[in-house]
Amino acid sequence: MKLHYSNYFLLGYVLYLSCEIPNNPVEMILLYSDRSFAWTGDLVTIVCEAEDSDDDKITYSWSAPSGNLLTKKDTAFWTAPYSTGYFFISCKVSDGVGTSDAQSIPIRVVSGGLLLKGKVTNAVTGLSVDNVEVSVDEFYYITGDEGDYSLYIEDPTSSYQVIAKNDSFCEFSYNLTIPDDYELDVFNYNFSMSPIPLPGEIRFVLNWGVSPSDLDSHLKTPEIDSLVYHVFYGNRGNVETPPYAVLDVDDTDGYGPETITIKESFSGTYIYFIHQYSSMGSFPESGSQVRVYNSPSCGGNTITVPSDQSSGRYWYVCTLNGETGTIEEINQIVDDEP
Amino acid sequence: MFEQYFKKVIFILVIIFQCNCVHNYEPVIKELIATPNPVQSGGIVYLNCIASDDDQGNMVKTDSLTYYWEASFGIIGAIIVNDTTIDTSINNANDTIYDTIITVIDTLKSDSIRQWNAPQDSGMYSISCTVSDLFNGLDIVTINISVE
Repeated sequence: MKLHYSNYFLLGYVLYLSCEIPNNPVEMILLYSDRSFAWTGDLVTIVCEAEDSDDDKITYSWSAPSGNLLTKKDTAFWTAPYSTGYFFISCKVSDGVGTSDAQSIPIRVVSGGLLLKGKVTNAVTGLSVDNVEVSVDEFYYITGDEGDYSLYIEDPTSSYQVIAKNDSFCEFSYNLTIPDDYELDVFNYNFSMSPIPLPGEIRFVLNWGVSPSDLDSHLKTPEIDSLVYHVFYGNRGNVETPPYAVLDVDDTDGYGPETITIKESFSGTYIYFIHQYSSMGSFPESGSQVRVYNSPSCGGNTITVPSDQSSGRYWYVCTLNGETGTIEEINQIVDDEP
Repeated sequence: MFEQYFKKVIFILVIIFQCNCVHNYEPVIKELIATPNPVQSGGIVYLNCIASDDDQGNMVKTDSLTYYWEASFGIIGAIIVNDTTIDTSINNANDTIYDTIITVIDTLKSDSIRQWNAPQDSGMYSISCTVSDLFNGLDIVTINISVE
């Protein structure tokens, strides 16, 4: 059978059109690591996220000019080399039909200095929080399932701002000062983060250091249905009946959190204070901080225990105007219960 | 006779379309050179990234390469000798700075030459060269420079 010339033109035209069918490129969405630094020999986890709208099979190519690299598709485990410096780890993704994308992530390999480590907990549940980015200066670490983090402190004699972020929680920041007489090469700092408060909620979160081991949060309410209430570990309150406030977490082994949440506030004055239950230690050495989170945002007050008042078992922190939500800072260490 | 010739032309066109339209050849970095390496602290390292792309020889497709430079620390810039910039392509470069990473972008054909000023602190420092073509093809190579 002979084909007419017009059929050849038709064939060519079809082929031409087939060339015009676009191949959407593979695109790297994100390249991230669980930390921005490592000590020599440490293991760093790096994840490469990519997508291809054609559903072409994506292949991942990893490279690192130093250290050991173990890869499993979109995840790489890099063992830091024994040299210090700034190292790139690269991920290249390809769709197999001519498009590719790549990025590098820098990891600083360090030696010496001080290891700052700790655990991040949920201020309401007391449970550990994963996927929190904890940072100091240029270094960050993303917490895993156990909420643990570790960070590099280059000069232990300086002050550092610890910042922690997670989309479901209020941002946390703390000015950390390592004591001048601290001689160990590991410093522990645990802290808790408040979930973003729901409408109408007001939350008091107490964090402190290793000592005293037991500090207790107390809240005294104004009259609610003709009764006043005292919320503390002996009467944890209720969110659905008066006092519409509850002690979420009671910590007895240092660091906190001790958290009280008011679900619904009433006209009058709320009194919030801390009692030092443990006989060992004192408020000035505790490094205590109370964060008050006022809904609907994370805005509020941060109140640090006074360091120049040595006596007293009660820290009278603040009062709350239940009608306006206004916090009045008292911030005094006193002998008697407020 | 004419029909035979016409069939051959069509056949060749089919091959060309199949081989060149459907598939893009991705660029390949052949070499990334740093000189000297190791370098004294505060010294200058000359960088040369050499790449090729099989599409560049394609008669029915125009392709060119773009080079992206990244330093994990420090600054990558044009080569300067006696206060004169000898790599003029830097004049059109788009410098993007974020954190400590410096990105320098320039569009050339087959290679890109830059210099990196070593920091004062000794250690290893990574520098990467990324080459992309006009059709979303890309290659990346990283090199470590030892600062002593």
